[in-house]
Amino acid sequence: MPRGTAGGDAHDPSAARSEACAAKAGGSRRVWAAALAIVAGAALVPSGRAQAQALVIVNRIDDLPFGTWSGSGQMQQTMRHCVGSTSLGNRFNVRATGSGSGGAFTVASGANLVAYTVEYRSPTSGAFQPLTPGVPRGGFVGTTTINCSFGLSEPAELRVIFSVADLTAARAGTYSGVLTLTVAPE
Amino acid sequence: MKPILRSARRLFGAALLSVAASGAAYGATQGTLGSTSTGTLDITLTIPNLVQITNINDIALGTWGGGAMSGSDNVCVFSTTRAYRITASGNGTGGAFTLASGANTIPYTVEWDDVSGATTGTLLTSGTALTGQTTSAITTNCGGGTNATVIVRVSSTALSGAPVGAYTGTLTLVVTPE
Repeated sequence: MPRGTAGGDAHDPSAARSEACAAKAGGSRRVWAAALAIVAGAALVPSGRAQAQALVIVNRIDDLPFGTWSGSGQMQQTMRHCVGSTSLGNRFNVRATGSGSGGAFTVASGANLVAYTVEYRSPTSGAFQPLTPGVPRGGFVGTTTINCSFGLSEPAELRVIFSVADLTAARAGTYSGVLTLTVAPE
Repeated sequence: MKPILRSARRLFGAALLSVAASGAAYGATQGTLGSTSTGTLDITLTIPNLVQITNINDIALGTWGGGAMSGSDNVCVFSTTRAYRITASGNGTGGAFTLASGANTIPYTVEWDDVSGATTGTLLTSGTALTGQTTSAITTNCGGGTNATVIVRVSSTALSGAPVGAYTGTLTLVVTPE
């Protein structure tokens, strides 16, 4: 079998761990891990020379309903989700884009806007890291599985924060927005 | 090899369907496996109708020396709607605007302007809201500043008819979002 270069390999340690996890999990879990490893391996086939194409998936995403501001203090919520990556070390970067002008992190109520900030972390990346709209930020580590089903449940965390200043300055209304997360292997 | 791959792809399709079926909240979308993967989530937030009046200070009219007397105070009104109504009431009988010294009372009038530093305003009736007031404050305390004026006046007639004494009263201001 061809050996992959940095960026992903069906035989990289992540795939090996995936299979190991599958063996422990047994049953249908074994099927999941096998599927991930084999599809990643399929990406190696077309090239005469080994060129691994790492694969990623982001899922288990939930909406963030903040409810009604009390009139004091900031508001923040954390959304745990899953990022699976076949890249070396399961590393990935994340790019967040809001639905505001130019991808700004804003929610809207008609013409009125409220800005928010976005932070991101994975267990091994330490503290939450601020994200800039449309700018990938790397250094995060995902799982070897596509649904975080092997004991590493929902390891990635997204945090959205509305500052008290922005909330106070906001006009009354019901605001909504869409936040898009795109992950890519590193 | 090929049959294995086809089989694997079928398995993967089933796995992805399983993820979608077990799914997240309505509105959120899940990424699919690829060289990049994209998901979305909805963020919702409600800013309710909120209002606050701050930077209120007592008004000391001093000692009467003849003629009418007046005093004012610049206050801050914050409203998430940027509009509000103001209702004033005194602590006299039935909310009357009166100052008292024992059983003796002196009536006064109250004016309001939604601009700081005003020298005249709209005459208020106790317990009756003055509507259509606006504020541009984007901080609850106007950043330490003010944006409205309350003016208290005591006529020379009322003063000249009042027995000697030290008179006090309490004026209550209620702001409501519009």
